[in-house]
Amino acid sequence: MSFASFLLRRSGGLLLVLLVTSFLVFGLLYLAPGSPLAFILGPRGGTPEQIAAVTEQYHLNDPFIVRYIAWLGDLVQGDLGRSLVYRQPVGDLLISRAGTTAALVSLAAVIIAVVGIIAGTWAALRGGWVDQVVSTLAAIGLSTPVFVVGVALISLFAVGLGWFPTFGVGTGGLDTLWHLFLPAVALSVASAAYLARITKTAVNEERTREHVQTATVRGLAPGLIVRRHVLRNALIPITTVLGLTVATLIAGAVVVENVFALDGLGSLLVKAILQRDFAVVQAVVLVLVVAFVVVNAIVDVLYTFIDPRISLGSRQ
Amino acid sequence: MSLKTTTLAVAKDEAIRGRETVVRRTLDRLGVIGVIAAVVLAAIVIAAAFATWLAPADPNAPDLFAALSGPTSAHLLGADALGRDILSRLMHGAQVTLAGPGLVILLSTIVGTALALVAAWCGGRVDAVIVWVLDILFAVPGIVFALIAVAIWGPSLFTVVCGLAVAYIPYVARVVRGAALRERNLPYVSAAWLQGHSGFGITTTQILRNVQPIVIAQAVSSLGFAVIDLAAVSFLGLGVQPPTADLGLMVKSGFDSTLRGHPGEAIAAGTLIVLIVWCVTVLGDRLTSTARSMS
Amino acid sequence: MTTPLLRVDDVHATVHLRRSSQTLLNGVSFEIGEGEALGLVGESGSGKSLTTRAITRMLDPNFTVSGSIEFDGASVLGMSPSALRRYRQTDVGMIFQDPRAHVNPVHTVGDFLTEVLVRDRGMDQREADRRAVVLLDEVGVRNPESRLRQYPHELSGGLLQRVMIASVLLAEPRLILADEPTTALDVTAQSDVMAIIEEQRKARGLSLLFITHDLELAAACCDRIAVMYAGEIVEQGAHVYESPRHPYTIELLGARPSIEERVDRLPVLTYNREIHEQLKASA
Repeated sequence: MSFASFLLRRSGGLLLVLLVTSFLVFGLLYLAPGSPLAFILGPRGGTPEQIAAVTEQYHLNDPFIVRYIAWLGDLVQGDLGRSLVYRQPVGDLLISRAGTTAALVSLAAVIIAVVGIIAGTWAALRGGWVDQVVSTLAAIGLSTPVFVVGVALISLFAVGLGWFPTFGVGTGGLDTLWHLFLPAVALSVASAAYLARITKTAVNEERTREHVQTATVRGLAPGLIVRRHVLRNALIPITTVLGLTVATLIAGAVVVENVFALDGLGSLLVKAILQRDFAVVQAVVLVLVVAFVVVNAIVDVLYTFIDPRISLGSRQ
Repeated sequence: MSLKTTTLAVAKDEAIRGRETVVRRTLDRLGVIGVIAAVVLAAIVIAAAFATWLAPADPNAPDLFAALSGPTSAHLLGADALGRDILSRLMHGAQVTLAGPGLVILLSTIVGTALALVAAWCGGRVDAVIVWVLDILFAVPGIVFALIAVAIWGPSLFTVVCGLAVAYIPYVARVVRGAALRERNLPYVSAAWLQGHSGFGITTTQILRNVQPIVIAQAVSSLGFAVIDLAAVSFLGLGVQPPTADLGLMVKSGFDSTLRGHPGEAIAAGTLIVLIVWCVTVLGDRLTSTARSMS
Repeated sequence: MTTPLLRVDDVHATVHLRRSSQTLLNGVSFEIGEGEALGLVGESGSGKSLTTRAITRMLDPNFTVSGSIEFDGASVLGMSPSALRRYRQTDVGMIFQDPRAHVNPVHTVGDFLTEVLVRDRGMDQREADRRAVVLLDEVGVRNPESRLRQYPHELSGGLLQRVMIASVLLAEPRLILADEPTTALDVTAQSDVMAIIEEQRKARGLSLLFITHDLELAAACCDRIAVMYAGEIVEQGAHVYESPRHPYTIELLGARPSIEERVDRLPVLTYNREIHEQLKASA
C-alpha cells in the first residue's frame, strides 16, 4: 500500500490503542480504594480551594462517562491537567523532562546496536573461543538487572575511579553526554547481550543459505560475501529485535533515571506514583504507549527498505 | 552360583543400568552447564526455603558495633549499615526474590495459557479479539504495569506481583497460542472431534498435554525476567517494604553504603540476583530447545 | 593428444559426522574435453551434485576429498585460496537448480548480474550494465533494461533461471556446471531454458557438465553420457543409450515409460546395493 494509506492506517491504530489505554488509565483512578477525592488529595486532606479545584479538574460531580469525555477533550486540546505536587501544567513538566529521557534512550540504543551487532557477528564468523567468550558474557549480561549494573558502574567508575560523574545531567552538550554515558551503558547491557545472541544466530543461519553459495562459487571476495550477502540479509531479524528493544528501553529508563538521579520522564513517573500525583502518572503512561507504537511503526517502515519482498503495510 | 543369586545379580545389574540411562538422558538434555545451573539453583532454593533454620543469625537483628564491617567470623559476608548479618539477610531475601516471581509466573501462565487455548480453539472473532487485547497489553512494559498497580493500591509485594502477572500474560499467551494452533491443525484433533469429544475436553486433555513442554519452557525463561522486574521495583522502594529482607531492597541500601565506601552489601545482593537469573535463564534455554526439538 | 579441460581421477569424498563417517563418492573418474558436453545421470543420492561441488571445491568442511581434479592441467584440490577464487570467477560457472533460493532476494537483478564485474574486477558500472543487457537479450529476456532494476521476487522462475544463466555467461567461463537447471521449472520453461543453454554453449565453444535425472534431456544435448550409482560411475561413453552394457544402465533405460505402449505396471528397478557390491567383487 502507499505510504499515505500506511500512515493513515497506522495513525488510526495508534488512536485506537490510545483510546483504550486512556480509558483504562482514566478508569484506574476509580479503582483506587476510597473516594477519588480522598485518593487524589491523599492523607494531606485539602483546603476548600484545593477541594474545589480538584473537583473541577476531575469533574467529580459528573457521571463517569461525562468525566471521561471531558478529560479526553482536555487531552485533545493539549491540556494534560495540572500536577498537584509541582503546581505546573503537566504538559510543561513533560516537555522539560522528555529531552533527558530521549537523549538517554538514544545513546543507549546506539551503544546496543553497535556492541550487540559487532559482538554477535564476530562470534558467528570466528567461532571457537570468540564464540564461547561472547556467549558467556552475553548470558551473564542478560541475567544482570539494570539497577545492578548501574550500582556497579557507579561504585567502580564514579566513586572508585572518579572517571565519570555520579549523578545529574550536567550542563548540556558534551557535559551532558559525559553525564549520560554511565546511565546509557547501564541501560544497554542486557539489551546488547540479547542483540548479540540474536545476531549470532541470524548470521549463522544466513551463512548456510543457498544464495551465499552462489556468491562463493562465483569467486567473490570473502569480505564482500560477508557484507553484502550474509550481514545484509541478517538485518531482517536484527532490525526486529532492535525495534523491540528500543521500545522496552523506555521502561528501563525508569529505573536508570532513579539510580543516577536524572530528571527524565522515568524519575518523574516514580515520584508521581509515590506522591499520588495522578494526572502526571496518566500523562507519562500515555507518552510511553505513544512511543512504543511509533517505534513499531518506524520498524515496519524500515523493513520495507531492508527486504524488498515486504511491501508497506504487510507485516510478516 | 545358584539360580537365585544369578537372578539377583542380573536384576541388580539392570537396576544400575536403568539408573545410568536416566542420568545420561538428563545430562544429554541439559548439557554440562545446564546441570551446573540446576544444582546451583537447587542449592539456593534450599538455602532460602530453610533460611529460618540454616541462617547463622537473625536477619533483622541490628548490631551497631558491627555496622558496615567486612567479612568476619561472626558475619561471613559482613554486615550492613545497621549491623545486620548480610549472609542471613541474603538467605531470607532470596525467599521473597524467588517466591514473588514464582507467583507472577504461576498466575500469568495459568491465565495466559487459558486465553491462548480459547483463542486457538475458537478461532475467528474470538481469536481476533483476544489477539487484539494481547497486543494492547504488549504495548505496556512489565515494570510500568507494576508501577501503575502500585500507583493505585500503594506499594506492596502483592500489588507488584499482580501488576507483573498481568503484564506477562501476553508473552505466555503468544507462545502458547502459536503452539496450540499448530496442534489444533493436526489430524488427531479432528479425529477426536468426530468421535464426539467436546471442544473443552479435547483442549484440556489432548492439546494441553502436547503443548505442555513449551508452556513449561516459556514459564522458566520468563521467571528470569520476573525476578529482575520484581527486584527493580523493590529497588525503587515501591515493592517489598522494609524491614522485610529482599535482594532488590538490599541492593538499594547497599548502594547507599557503597557511596560511603562500603560496597559489600550491594555486591553480595547483586551477585546473588545475577546468579539466580543466570541459572533460571540457562535452564529455560535448555528446556526451550528440548521442547522445540520435540514438536 | 590434447589435455582435457577437466580431468576427474579416482575421486573419493567422505563426510565425517559426529559419530560416523560415510564415503559418498567412491572413485569417480571422467574427463571433459574442450567444447564437449558430458551428461551425468543417475537417481537421487547417487552423488551427482556432490561431484559438481567437488569440482568447485564447495563441499562442506566436514568432507575429506582424495584423488585428483585437474582443470587445464592445474590441480584444483591443491589450489591456493587466491588461485581458487580466480578459478571460480573466470574458469568455471555454475547454474543451480532452484533459482529462487540461489539469488539473493534483497538485491536487484542488475546488482546480481554485475556484482562480480564491478566489485571484484573493477569494471565501470555503466559498462557492466551494458554487457548485462546484451546478455539478457541473448538469453531471450524481454525489456532487459527494466529488468536490471527489478527484484528477484518480481520475476517468474523461468525468467530468473535465464537471469542466472546470463550471469554465468557474463563471467565468460570455459566450463559450465549445470546442476538440474530445469527441474524446478514447468515444462515450457524447461525446453526454453535448455535451448538457450545449448545455443550459447555451441556459439561460444564452452564445455558443459550437465546433471540431470532426465535421460532424454541428457541424450538430447550431450555428446557423452556417464551413469552414476552409489557414488561411482558405472558406465560412460557416447553410445550408452544405444548399447548399454552395465546391468544398472540397462534397467534404467528399460524403466522409462513409453508414450506409445500401455502397461499394467511401471517397471521397477531390481538393481540394488547388494548386487552392486557383488558385481564389483567379481570384477
